[in-house]
Amino acid sequence: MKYIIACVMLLSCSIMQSKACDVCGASSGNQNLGLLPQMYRHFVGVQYQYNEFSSRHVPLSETRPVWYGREHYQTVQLWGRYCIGKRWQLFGFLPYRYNTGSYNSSGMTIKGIGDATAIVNYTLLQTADSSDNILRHRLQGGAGIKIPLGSHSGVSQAEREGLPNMQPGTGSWDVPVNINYTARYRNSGLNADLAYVMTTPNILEYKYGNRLNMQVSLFYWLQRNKFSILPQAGIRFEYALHDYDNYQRKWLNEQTGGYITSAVAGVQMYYGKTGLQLQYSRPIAQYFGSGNITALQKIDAGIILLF
Amino acid sequence: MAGLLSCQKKEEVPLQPDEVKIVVTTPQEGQKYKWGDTVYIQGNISYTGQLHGYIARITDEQGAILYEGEGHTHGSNLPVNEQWVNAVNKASQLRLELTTVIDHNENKKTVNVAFSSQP
Repeated sequence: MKYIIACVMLLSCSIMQSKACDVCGASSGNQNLGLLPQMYRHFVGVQYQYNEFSSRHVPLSETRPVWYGREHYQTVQLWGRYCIGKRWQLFGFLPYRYNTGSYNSSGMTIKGIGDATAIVNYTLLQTADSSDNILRHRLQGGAGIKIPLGSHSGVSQAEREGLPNMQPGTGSWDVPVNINYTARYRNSGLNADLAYVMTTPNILEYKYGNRLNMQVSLFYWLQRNKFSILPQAGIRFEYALHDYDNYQRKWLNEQTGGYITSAVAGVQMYYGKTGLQLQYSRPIAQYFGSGNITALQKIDAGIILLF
Repeated sequence: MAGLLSCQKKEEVPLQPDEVKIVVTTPQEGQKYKWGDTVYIQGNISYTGQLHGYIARITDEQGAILYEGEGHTHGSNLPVNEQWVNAVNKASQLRLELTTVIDHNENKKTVNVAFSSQP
């Protein structure tokens, strides 16, 4: 029983990482922690993320036809958590991006190491591990920094037209902040996660819009011996401000930014010190890139090793 | 939602199309090209504010479009670098229209350069 309680309480930061940015600025790298395993203090993991968009491109010349594209953003990411004391957690993320786009008869592929992110979280509130507490809470919050390790060679035409960043990096130092709350009653629970990225202009004075990413999920925890499974479902809201073509001149690019609201369903499974995670998201309402960008679907999958 | 986006600071400058400078280096006014020659369309467009791109178009005497290229680039200084291989095999008066798109509200400025094709 104690093991069960520990497991559920410790599921308070999730493997889910939404690269909102790829939708809402992939590049700016929103790191949604969501529901995370707490059975052990530390973990390392590999995560695969897939985002698919369709795009509509209106030429400057009225004599040319509108053309359409399809973009696929794939990321394989190393990430992990290291706990310092009872209340501090250090998270690190290092993505490798493989982005492709197909446009009528042409296509492009852009790949490479993306921007790294480090986040420090503090546990603000945690219900004591006692059988007296039927309703348990855990509240964590923190901030970090996104380091422009990924290559960035200026802003492409596609990005000017509202597409999320196709390049591996943004060239900017950004500040992600997050707050994460988990409540559990017996085997059922709720996780609410909010992440916000404050961007800065890069060396080219291009500034990706600040990005907000919120997700609320309900989960249910089932366990038998060393095996536990957590189905979860919820809703995610991603919002991106407009980018600036030149922040110093305040040249706002009103073709960029917007919102995406998605229905989310997923499952986490743990066996001993190994965890698997899978999540599928499908937009239910959106307005992005002046309506020229449509998010189609998003898949997150990953494995973590706890220690 | 729109309210949040509209809170962002934005450069507000009065539109001044007369301040847009379009310089066409080639082709030059009256220049003659033979069939198969490459017509390099080169120049520069500058403005005190932000420009949103350019359209370079070559038309014949009837107004038919023989070539059209565009650069969707945002900035206050847009280099123009296009090329077209002359496929007109008869004597014909041609015209280059170089149009810059000042903003996405259909504000534009155009300069024309007349040149000719000789068989």
